[in-house]
Amino acid sequence: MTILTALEVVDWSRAQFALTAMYHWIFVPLTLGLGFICAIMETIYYRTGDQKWKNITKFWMRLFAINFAIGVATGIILEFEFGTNWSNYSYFVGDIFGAPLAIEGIFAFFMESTFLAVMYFGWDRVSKRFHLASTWLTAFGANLSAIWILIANSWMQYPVGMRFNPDTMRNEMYDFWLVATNPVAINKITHTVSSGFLLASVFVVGISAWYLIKRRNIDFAKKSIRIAAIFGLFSSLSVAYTGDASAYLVAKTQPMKFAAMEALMDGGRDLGLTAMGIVATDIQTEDHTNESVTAFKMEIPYMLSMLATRGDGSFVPGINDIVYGNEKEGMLSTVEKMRRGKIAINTLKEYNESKKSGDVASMAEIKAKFDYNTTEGKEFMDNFFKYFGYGYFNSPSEIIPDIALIFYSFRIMVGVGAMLIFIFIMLIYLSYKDQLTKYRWALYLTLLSLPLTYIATQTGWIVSEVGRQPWTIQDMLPTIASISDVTSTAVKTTFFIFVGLFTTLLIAEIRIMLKQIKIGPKENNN
Amino acid sequence: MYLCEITLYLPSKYDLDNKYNENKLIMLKKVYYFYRDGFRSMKVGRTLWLIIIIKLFIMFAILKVFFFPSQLGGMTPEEKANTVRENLININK
Repeated sequence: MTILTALEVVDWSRAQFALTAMYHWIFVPLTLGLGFICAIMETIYYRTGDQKWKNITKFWMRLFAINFAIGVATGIILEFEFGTNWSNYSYFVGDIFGAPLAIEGIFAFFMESTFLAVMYFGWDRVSKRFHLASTWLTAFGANLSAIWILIANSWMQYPVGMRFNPDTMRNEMYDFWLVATNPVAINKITHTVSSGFLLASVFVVGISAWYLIKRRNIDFAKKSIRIAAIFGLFSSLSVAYTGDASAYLVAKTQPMKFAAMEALMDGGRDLGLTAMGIVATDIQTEDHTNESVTAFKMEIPYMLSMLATRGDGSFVPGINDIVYGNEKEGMLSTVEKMRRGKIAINTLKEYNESKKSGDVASMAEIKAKFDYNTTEGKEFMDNFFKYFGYGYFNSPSEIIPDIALIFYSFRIMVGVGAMLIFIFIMLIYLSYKDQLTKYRWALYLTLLSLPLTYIATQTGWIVSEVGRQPWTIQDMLPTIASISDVTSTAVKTTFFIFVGLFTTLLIAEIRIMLKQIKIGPKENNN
Repeated sequence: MYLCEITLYLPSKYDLDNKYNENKLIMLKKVYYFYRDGFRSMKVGRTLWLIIIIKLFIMFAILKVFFFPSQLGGMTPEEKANTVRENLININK
């Protein structure tokens, strides 16, 4: 495969993976959050015996079922893509996508599907208590199935607890707890799950606001808003808290992503955060300074350093520091990392040749370099293999991701998140004062926040995934080395098949949902 | 001569097994009727099931079979390792 063909395959494979993941993420967050909202509403019904709460629960459960049915198994397509388009990566990544993911998937699937049936078929067939327990367990099951995949994703962002074996060519887990309690993973799980809760809350308040705008199902809408706004406020505060922790961890573990989020060219201390701005789009081809990269910006003084270092006065690196190095701050240049990476690749090449020629002595000698338990091995792994992925680059600028896309996505995510905190506080206040129907602008704003929240959850993933480019596994494996020997035509074909398939599914979801919303909560269809 | 006749009935293992199997059967029947009635009473659910079945058919019978072969499928672990090693050291830049 030539470099141009490989780049074309990489670009199309990335586009296809992004398309699949983004469509998948339209369905997932609602499932994560709406299950718990239904469970809270049913708990109120269980405690009060008020039939109205039963009808409210059943209505939202119906929308939960539609979303679940349309979205179920869309994530499996990502697995197909791993095996076909990303075979080097999916083999190299090793145990992280192995047994734990399968066990969790099977356990969560059976838990979810068993109790889901009780949730829908069990009204008046099982006891109220058992039904309520089933609803809670369905909600927990849905969230459980998201945990390991987020741990796996976090490992790619910050690989810990696994070691590379040149014989098996896999990363092998030597410490399960280090992988499972990876700080990036814990933060990612809480941030992502909270964002699902947040989206579900906006979904409930948004649709309820529509009923209030239409002046129908008033009592139902008010009750729904009361629950979802409180749930949403807690979720949005959790998203903000974990988002802040996420920024801190990104600054520590993925400085290029952090610099890209801010379009920070030259690092420093006591830096301000750009609240709003316009950035250049030619950062990969032109040298820029902090002044030249932005055409306009509004800054919050000291905030960036506060986010990145908690104000301990340490240096926050910019893109130029990472690309060209900063001797004063003890940062290696990318050119040096590339040199070390190429040495690591050559060592693997020598090992492969020894293996093929059956030279046992040479094999043992080279293999010792990959053994962390020897002094020589530790030195090689820490100083050379650590930069293995850099060996695939020809130019230092290849490590710069799409700055403008990350910069704007980050601001959309944070901006919408901040707006939602305001909306939930407003809804709780209006609900408490029983003035929800009085301020129609507030209802329209609430309704508008629904598509904005969907966009914000997508931009959150753009920051996370485009931000770590060009890596599939941070510093270890770039996308150019992760792809399979497939033709770009094959990837393009399946890309457009997916566009058709997912768009059809999305249209089906929206149409069925809209029909059910128009019917409203009084119908008791399954 | 007996003053009274007491019949002490102790269930045999055979009887206990029968009882257990009977209960199991009743339980299975209950689960079957639970699902059957549930599916029969569906309205929106029928459309959703149709969507799920079509989607799974497209995914597993068409996409997986014709468009997404596993690149390393059918290889032994050693062959897979050798292939990936060759791929990673021979990427044509």
